[in-house]
Amino acid sequence: MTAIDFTIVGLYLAGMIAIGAIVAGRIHGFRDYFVAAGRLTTPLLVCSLVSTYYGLDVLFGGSEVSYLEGVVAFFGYTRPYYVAILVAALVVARKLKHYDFLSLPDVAAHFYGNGTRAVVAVASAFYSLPLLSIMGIGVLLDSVMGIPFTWGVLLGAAVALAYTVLGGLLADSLTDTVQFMLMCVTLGIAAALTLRTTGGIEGMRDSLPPSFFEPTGTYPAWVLLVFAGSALSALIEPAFYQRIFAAVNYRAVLAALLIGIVLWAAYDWVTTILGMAAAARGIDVEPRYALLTVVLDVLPAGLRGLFVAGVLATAMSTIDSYLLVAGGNLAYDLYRPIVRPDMDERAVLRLARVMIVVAAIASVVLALFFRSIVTAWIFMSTILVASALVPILAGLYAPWRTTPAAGLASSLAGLGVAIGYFVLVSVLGSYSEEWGTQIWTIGSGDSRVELWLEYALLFALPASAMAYAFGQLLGRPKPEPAERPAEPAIP
Amino acid sequence: MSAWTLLTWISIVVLVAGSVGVFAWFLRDAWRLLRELDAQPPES
Repeated sequence: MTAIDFTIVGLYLAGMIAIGAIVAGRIHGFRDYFVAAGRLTTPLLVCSLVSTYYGLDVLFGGSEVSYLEGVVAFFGYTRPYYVAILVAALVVARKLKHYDFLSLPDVAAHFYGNGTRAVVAVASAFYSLPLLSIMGIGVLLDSVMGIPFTWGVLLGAAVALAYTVLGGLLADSLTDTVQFMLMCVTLGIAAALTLRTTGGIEGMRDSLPPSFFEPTGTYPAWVLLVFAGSALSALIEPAFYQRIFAAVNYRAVLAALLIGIVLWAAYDWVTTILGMAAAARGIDVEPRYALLTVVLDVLPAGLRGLFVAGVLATAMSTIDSYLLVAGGNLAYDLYRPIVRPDMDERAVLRLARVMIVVAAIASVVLALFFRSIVTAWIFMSTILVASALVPILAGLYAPWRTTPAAGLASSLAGLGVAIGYFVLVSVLGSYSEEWGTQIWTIGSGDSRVELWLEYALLFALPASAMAYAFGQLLGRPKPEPAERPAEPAIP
Repeated sequence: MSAWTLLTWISIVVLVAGSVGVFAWFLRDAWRLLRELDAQPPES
């Protein structure tokens, strides 16, 4: 890295804080802070959605899979998400805009009461902890700029914290927009230059095993099913929900998600190719750093700094948005309804800012546990899907009157089974170097059963559904929720 | 040119051109949004 590169990165970090400071003076209450007063239009939503949803877990995790397995990273791992996001755009967002919610747990409270709200809030807050991106910044700054790991983590988290605490969703969205363009443009340029060093795709085909170009790769069918299942998280994604509530109207959300799908698909394919390029060039490195290594090897000074800024942007656009969701979950969805229901907007806003800092600290602490980015992502999305998918979608679409018991039983059962399964496999299983995950092998020979850590959803989701059914049979209905008319569109 | 190569170059163009285009679109809306927030009274 040269002086030019360091200057570019420094200017980027300073610019982000400046945006937070500019916006801070325009925040007057929690609604302004958490959903930008419902004023986000299509381009703001596109930038915010695309950059928020994609962080270092995608950049490094997607390329990690493609470095090891090839195009299955796109066809098996990322493609199911486009279907789920399409369903979210056409079906879920349309329904949600009929209401006046501020968060995902708000939806649970509306149909089932505060018990289910609390469980969903815990799952949402945990899911939203941006541990991967925070740690990724530390590794990035250490390997690329020589900043010691701990200082890199603190620097990256501090900058993202600063503008998020100051300006909330509006600052996040504005910085997301700059970050969105930076991460997309730098990745595209990096890919074009990298392909020249591999002899293009044809050159890569000569260097890589044929399975690298098989859409299903060498993964077992059950694993591909779990990958697809993790895409269900898009139907109850807390950051999606927040932006749906922040959108000026439904059409803005629909347009943003449809445009987003195209951009996400392009981003996924490019990261897939870059991971494969690293393998084709024989780069021997930890799989999650394959993309970073191959790109920094080909980029000249100046572009290298821009790419690093782009990777920082990828991480920070995720960190800021999910810290905001986690802080909001803790303050607005857990503390306020349970401890102080009469809290006014300004008090909630103050507490949310404190909880964002708490969430950042928790992220750093928890990030030390996982060895694989993909495994960490599967775990976090499983927790959310297992505890929230059934009660939330049932509340929105079931033709019958819901019971608080159904929501609470469903969310607790899903959460409990998911955590229990992960603990069992972690304790009783062993780490597989071949597959990069924990596997619990029961039995031997032909009757052997291998339970991967990633299979948790296959048990937790049915458990959640069964518990919902029992709770619906045995519980008493909640009074019919009133469907408030949609907010008039702001011209 | 193979299908893989075509897909790759289309993706690169979409990433670069698409993001620049959305950013330009954003600039117009962001200015208007900040002016609207300046004009509204504080929440109670």
